[in-house]
Amino acid sequence: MSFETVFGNIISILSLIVTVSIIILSVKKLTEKKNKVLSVFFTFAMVSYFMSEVYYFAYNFLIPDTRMPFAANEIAEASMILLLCAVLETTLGKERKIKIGALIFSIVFIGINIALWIMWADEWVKNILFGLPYIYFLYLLIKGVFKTKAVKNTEIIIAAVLSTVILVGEAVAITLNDTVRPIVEISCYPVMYILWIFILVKVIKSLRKEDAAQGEAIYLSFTLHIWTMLLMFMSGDIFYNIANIMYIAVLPLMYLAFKKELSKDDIR
Amino acid sequence: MIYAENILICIAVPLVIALMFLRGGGRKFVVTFLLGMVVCLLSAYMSGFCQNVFDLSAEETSVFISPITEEIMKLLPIMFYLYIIETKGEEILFVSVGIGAGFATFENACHILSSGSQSLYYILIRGAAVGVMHLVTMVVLAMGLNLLKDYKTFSLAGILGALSLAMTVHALYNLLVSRTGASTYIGYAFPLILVVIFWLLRYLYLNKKAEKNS
Repeated sequence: MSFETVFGNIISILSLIVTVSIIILSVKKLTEKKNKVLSVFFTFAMVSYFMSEVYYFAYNFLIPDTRMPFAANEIAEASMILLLCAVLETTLGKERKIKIGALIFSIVFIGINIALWIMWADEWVKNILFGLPYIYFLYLLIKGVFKTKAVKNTEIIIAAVLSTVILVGEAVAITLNDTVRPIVEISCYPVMYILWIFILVKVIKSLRKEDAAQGEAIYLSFTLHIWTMLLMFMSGDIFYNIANIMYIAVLPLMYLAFKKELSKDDIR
Repeated sequence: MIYAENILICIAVPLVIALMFLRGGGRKFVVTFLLGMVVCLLSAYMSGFCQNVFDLSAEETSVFISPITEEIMKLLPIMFYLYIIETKGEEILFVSVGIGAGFATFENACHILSSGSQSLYYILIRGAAVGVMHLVTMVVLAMGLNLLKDYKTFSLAGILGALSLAMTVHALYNLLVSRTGASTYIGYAFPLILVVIFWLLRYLYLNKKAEKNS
């Protein structure tokens, strides 16, 4: 077993501990009298993630140092995203009007990501099929962020420019030779992390804000979640493990945002 | 090589005749049990098809493909049942358990016929592990669907969530038993541990419901 696999297993164990704690806490919320719908979907999402991690850990342990083919954990991950979509739908309430701009951006942005995943792994069906929930997830997030005005217009423009720079950089890197490619790839990481820190700060601020708009903390923490996931998919070797640790840090923030939302009485 | 269709007919005929003399819950259980066996045969066709199309080995099919096809196939009759009948209380659980039991019985019967039944030790492990595992995944599915029904949140996302949980439990079992050594024993014990956990959860849930009603 290589050092990276052992390190990956340690991170998996850490992730399992954090997820189990969150599941226990959210199950407790399930027994409370209000907002059960939100609790059901959130708990289900966390259980899906837990099962995905257990499978991943078992696979890494039993068949180390091999690339995992299409497996059940991918389905668990996709279902986690769909269940988080259900959380967002519940938070958005009865607003079902389609926002064309948000939809186009989501399709283009995740579409480019899917194209990159295919170029890296050459797994067409898997990447297209399991990329679709991300489009809907991102669409709901953008809709929610605009609705709650959780991020200023200038900040949205900066984030869009930075993420475009990363995507272009990663796409260009694929076409380059082996000597130049790592330089371009590594130069993308600071931009990715800056954007991550920017969203993290926004999440913490919204969690601390007493008069935050309904759903603001949820939209922002879920945005941080999707960005961390994309960051993980774009990272290789040791950077993947770093992104994995960042992902573990995001989970409690998501729970705190969910808890904050539950404390409000005026949602279904 | 075994002729699974013939085995199905052989097991199903007495059960179909028994249906003529049964009423109520007993009849419902036998119907779902038969359905489980048919579903098992159909999922074997599906897995075989995927194995050929994706050019996989028998082990790869068992670890990566079977959990997906089998759980989807087991979900379909439940969804059909939910679509045509308005279920009350824990009816989903009873239907699911019947399908799971039928599925496991037919799979065990075919496995024993193809690989022999000389070793009682192996047969016991097989019965207690695979048999229970199919029941467990159906209980996972049923509990998930029941929860969604109770909170009136039946949605595609919720159903997929419950289905994916069942698939992952199944896939984890198949992965664990596919390797030799300690992982095999963990795999064999895994469904039994889950049964105990689910039984406790159900007991607590029913107790709480009874408290609420009183």
